[in-house]
Amino acid sequence: MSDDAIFEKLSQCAVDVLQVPPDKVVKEARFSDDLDADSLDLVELVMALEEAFGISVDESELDGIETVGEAYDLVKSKL
Amino acid sequence: MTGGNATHTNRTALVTGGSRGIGLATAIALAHRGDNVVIAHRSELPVSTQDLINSLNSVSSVHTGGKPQLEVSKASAPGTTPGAAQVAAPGAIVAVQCDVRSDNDISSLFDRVEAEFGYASIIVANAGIVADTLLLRMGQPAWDDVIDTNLTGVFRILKRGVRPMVRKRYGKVVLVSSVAAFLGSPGQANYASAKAGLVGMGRSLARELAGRNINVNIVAPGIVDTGMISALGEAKLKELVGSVPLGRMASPEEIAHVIAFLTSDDASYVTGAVIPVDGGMAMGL
Repeated sequence: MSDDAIFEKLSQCAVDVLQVPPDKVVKEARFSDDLDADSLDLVELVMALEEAFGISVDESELDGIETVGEAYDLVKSKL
Repeated sequence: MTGGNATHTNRTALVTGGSRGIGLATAIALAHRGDNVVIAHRSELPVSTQDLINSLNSVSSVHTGGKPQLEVSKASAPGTTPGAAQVAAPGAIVAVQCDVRSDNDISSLFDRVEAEFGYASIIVANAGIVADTLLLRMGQPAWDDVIDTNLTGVFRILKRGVRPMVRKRYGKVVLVSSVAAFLGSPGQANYASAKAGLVGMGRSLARELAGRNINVNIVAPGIVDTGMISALGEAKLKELVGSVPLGRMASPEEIAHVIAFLTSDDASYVTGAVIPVDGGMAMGL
């Protein structure tokens, strides 16, 4: 899967789960501040990403993931 | 999506420990009001329970045009969640063997539920065992077994079961605790600990999931006329009943009715509550 395709898929998950407009889902966007996501939103997003990409994300790997770009890196590292 | 006044019908309920006692009474109460019910049970289904389910299913088939419920499992493929609910007639009861100590069993249980009916929007965590003995004589296995089933088993069920509720933004969870959680109960340090643990678990979950329109409540039954009290012996039972203001045991149905209320949309503003259903036995605690 190309980098663009990965981001596109991740972005779609974020739009669906967090109910935000697509143009707000940029790599610099912070989940808590820019996308208004609470902790349960993030858990839901992780569940959606696990399903969409067929990956499994451990609880400990989520530490320090605060931006869309960091989430993208994490997903990419698992493909 | 769903306001406080919305009324949902054709829901699916999962009741663990559903083959007898409070669980069975709850399954029947929910089926009667039109929910599809999946009973999870560990031990062999008693013949009387199977007969009861059969007769209830035959009645509910009549209501829905004679559609047999139990064939649905063969007809529908896993993953056909949202539409599948229309296939099954309302009020059907299906029994699935499941040990809440086993992640594999739980996984297959939910796969089955979701394949047949769509997601379970109601979960009644009722499965429980006793292994009574004074703490000084309590072996580690008696402690571990009871905690593993009565407390950790609920964690396992909820961890898998609330996932779709979160997605769908709708769910009703009831944990069946016990008056023993508040009064203490000699010979039941293991059981009372697990049942007290459910209060903390339920209230934490109520806070975690409140934003997703999911209500989590706890019922704390007192002395209920089920197989579980037969081990008490007549003298002990008489003494216990003597401490109940209403002066008698509860029937399983009397607990089931409260659970039915808590899992109804009439109770939409009730969450994180501990409801004693104990004839006044532990009032004020």
